[in-house]
Amino acid sequence: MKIAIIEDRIARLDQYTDFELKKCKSVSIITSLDFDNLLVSLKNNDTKPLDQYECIASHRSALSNDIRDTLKEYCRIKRKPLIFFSGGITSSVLKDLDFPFLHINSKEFYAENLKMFIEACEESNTVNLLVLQFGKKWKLSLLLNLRNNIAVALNKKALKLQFPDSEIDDSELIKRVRDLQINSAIKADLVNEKTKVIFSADDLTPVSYDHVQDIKYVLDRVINEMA
Amino acid sequence: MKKLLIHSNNTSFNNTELFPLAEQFVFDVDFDKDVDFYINENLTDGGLKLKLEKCDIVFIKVSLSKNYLEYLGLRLAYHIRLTKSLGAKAYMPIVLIAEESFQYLGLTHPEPSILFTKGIYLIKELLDDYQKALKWFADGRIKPLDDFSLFVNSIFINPPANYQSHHSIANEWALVRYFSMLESDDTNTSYVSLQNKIYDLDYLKTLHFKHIEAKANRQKFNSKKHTINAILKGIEGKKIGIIDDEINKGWLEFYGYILNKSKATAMPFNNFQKDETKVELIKKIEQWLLEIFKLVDPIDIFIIDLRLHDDDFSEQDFQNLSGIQIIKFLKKYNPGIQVVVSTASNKVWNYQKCLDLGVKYFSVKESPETYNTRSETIASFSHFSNQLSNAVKDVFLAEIFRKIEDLKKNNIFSKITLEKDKKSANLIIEKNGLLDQIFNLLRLDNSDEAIIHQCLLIAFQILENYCELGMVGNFGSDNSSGNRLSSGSIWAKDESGPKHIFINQPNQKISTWFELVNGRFPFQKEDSNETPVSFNVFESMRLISSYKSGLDISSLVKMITILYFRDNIPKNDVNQIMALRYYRSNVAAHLTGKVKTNYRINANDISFFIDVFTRLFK
Repeated sequence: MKIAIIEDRIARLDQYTDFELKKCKSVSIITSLDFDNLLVSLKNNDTKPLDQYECIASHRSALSNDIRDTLKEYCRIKRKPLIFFSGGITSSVLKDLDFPFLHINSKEFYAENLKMFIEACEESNTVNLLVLQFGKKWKLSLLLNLRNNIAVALNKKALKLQFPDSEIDDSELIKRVRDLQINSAIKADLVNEKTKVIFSADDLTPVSYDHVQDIKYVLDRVINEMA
Repeated sequence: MKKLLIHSNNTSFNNTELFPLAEQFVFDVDFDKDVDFYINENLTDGGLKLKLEKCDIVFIKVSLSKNYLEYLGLRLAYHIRLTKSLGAKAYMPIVLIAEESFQYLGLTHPEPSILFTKGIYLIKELLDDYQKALKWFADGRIKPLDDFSLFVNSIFINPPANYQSHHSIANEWALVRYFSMLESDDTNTSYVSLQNKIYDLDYLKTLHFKHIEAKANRQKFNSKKHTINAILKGIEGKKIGIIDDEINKGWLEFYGYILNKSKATAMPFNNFQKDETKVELIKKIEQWLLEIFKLVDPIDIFIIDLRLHDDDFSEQDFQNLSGIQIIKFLKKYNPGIQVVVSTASNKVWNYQKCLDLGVKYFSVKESPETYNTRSETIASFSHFSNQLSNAVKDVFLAEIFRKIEDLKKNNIFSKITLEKDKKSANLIIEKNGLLDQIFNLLRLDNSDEAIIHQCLLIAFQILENYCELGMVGNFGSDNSSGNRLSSGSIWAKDESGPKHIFINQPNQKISTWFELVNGRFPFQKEDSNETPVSFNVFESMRLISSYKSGLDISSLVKMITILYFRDNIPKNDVNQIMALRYYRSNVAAHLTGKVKTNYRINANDISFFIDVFTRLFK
C-alpha cells in the first residue's frame, strides 16, 4: 500500500500534523524537486510516476486546472482514490461515482484522521476515504445512508399505493436482498438473531416487509449507540 | 401554496405528484468548487435563487450528497438564512427531511445551532409527515423566522479550518469592513482594483463570513457618520514599505489606494512563496531591505505584520515571530527607521515587547471578535491613520541616524594631534558620545519638551567643544583688560594658515571683521534686556571701540568666528544658532523667565543642529 501526498507547502505539513507523517512507510511525500518533476510529467500527460501509488492526495492549489484534470482523468480510468486538500475548502465532500474523490480542508487533512486513515490502509490494504473524512465515525455515514435508503424505498412503496399512476419503478423498491445495497463494511454490525437470515441469504432472496423492519430496528440501535 | 424541494436524488419526495419538476432543485456540488462557493453562487445569481424567490416554504433533505454524514442540507439552510440578496425570502420556513431527530442531528453535526432556531422544522421521509407539513403551513402552524437578530445571535459557525487563528479572519474581515465604509470612488483605478480584489476574496463566500457580516449589519449604515476618509494626513510624498503576507489577499490594493489618495507611495515586499521555510522567507525579506537601503531615497517607514509565515501561528516564543526578526533587522541597521506594527492580535504583552525593540506605533486590524459597531470600525481605521501619520513624523530620525553614522566615519577629527583636543572630539563622535546621546533622546520621545531641551544643551556642548579645538581656531585673552579677548583667529579650511578675525588694539580699540548687533528676539519678553541677536560683517577689518563691539570671551563670539568665518555657515543659520543659544540659556539651562511662555522649540531645531554639524565636521 502506497499513498502519495503531493504538497508544495511542506512547512504546513509539519505545522498541522502532530505525528511523524514523514516516517510512515506507506506514505511518500512528493515535494520540492520531486514535486517539480511530477508537474513536468503531468504537464506532458505522463502519469506513469503515479502508478506506484494506490491513493493520491494533492494540495489542490498547487496544481493548475489542466494538471488537476489530468490527475482526475487518471484516477477515473484507474479507479484510484483521489484527495484534493486546500485551505479554500470549507466542508469536506466525498464523491464516489467513477472513483472515490474527496475534497477536504488542508487543516482537516493533516489531522488525527490522517493517521487513522494511513493505519487503516496499511491494515486492510484498501483505501477507505470515509476514515479520512470522519475518523472513528466513518461507519456512521454508511449506516445513516442505509437507513435513508430504506426510508426512501418504503415511502416510495406508500406513494405507489397513494398515486398508482406515478412513475415508480419496481427497481426503486426493496424486494430482494440486493435491493438493500448494504455496504459490506457494516454488515457485521447489523447481524442479530432476527437479521442473520437475511445476511446469510443470497442477493436474489426475497425480502419481506418484516425483514426490512427487523433491519431498520437493528440499524436504529447501532446508529444511536454510535452518536 | 408555493413550495420547493431541494434534494440530491436521495428522497422519495421528488415524485412529481408531490413536487412538480419546477418545484425541485437538484443539489449537485461541482467538484471544482468548494461547497460554500457552490451554494453561494446558486443563491446569489443561480437557479436556486430564482426558485426560492418563487416559493414560500422550502423542504430540504438533510443529506444532499451520497455521504450522509456531510449533512450538506443543514449547511444550505444556514446559507439561505444568511444570504442578504434573498431579502425576506431568507426567512421562509425551512422543513428539513431526515430520519434523525433534532437531538441526534445536534449530537452528530459540528454546527447544529440552526436546528434550534425558529422557522426550522423536521419531518421524516414519510408521506404522512409531508402532508402534515403542508397542512400546518396552510393553517399557520409552520411559520417563517420572525426575529433575524435573535437568529444571528443564536447560531454558531466555525471559521474555515485553515484559518490559523482569528488573525486570518481579522485580516480579511478588516479589509472588507474598511472598504465597505470608504466613499465610493469608481473613477479611481486603485479603488476599482481594490473593489475587484475584495469581490474575489474566497472568504466572502463562506458561511462564517456571512454570519459575522449579518451580526455586524444589525447597525444601519449612515453615510454621513460612517464614512472613512481615505486621505491620511501628513504622509504626502512618503514611500511606505509594506511587509505583510496578506498582501495578495487585497491588502496591497487597500494600502495602494489609501496611500495613493494621500499622495504617498506603497512599496510592498511581494515575493511570498508558499513552499519556502520561515528562514528562507526572512532571508529573502532581508535581501530586499538591503537593496532598499542602497537607494538614494531609501524607505524609512514600514508597515509590518508580525506573522509572515505559517510557522508563526504555532510559534510559542514571541521573539521568533518572522515579523519580529524583520523589525530587529531594520532597527539594527538603522534604529531611526519607523515601523507601524499592523497586526490582528490584540495581546497587550506583545505591544510591550515591541516597545522594547523600539517600535512605537501599532495598528490592530479590526476583528469580528473585538469590534461590532461601525463607530468602532471608524475608530479602528482612524487609529491606523494616526499611527501612520505619527510614524511619518518620526521618519526624520532615520535621516539623523544616517548623518550621525556618516559623521562618525568621515570627519576632520582624524587630523587632530593635540591629546586634549582628541578627547574633546571623541566625546562628540565616540559610541554613546554626545551625538549618539542626541539621537537616543530624540528616539525616546521627540515630542517631549524636556527631552528637546536636553538635546539642545548637548548640541551646544558639541558646538562649544568644536570651537575650542586648536585645529579650528585660536582665541587669546589680554590679561591687562580682564576677561576681554585679545584676539580671535581661525585656521582656514584650505590650510592656508591662520586668519585673524579680531585683534585687540591699544586704547580700548579692536580691529575686527564683524560686530555684534543687539536687540530682542521675537520670542523674548518685552521687558527683558537687549541681547546680541545678529552680527554685522565688514568688507575689511575695521578699528572700532572694543567696548562697543561686544567681542568678549563668550562662546557666542567664538561660535560666530568659527562658524561664519571658517566654516562658511550662512549668516541666517548663525543667527538661528544665536537665537537658540538665547533660548538654551534662558529656558533649557536656567528658567530665567525672559522668554515668552508660548514659545517652544521642537525636534526640527535639533535636526538643524545635526545639519550644521555635518557641514562643520566633514
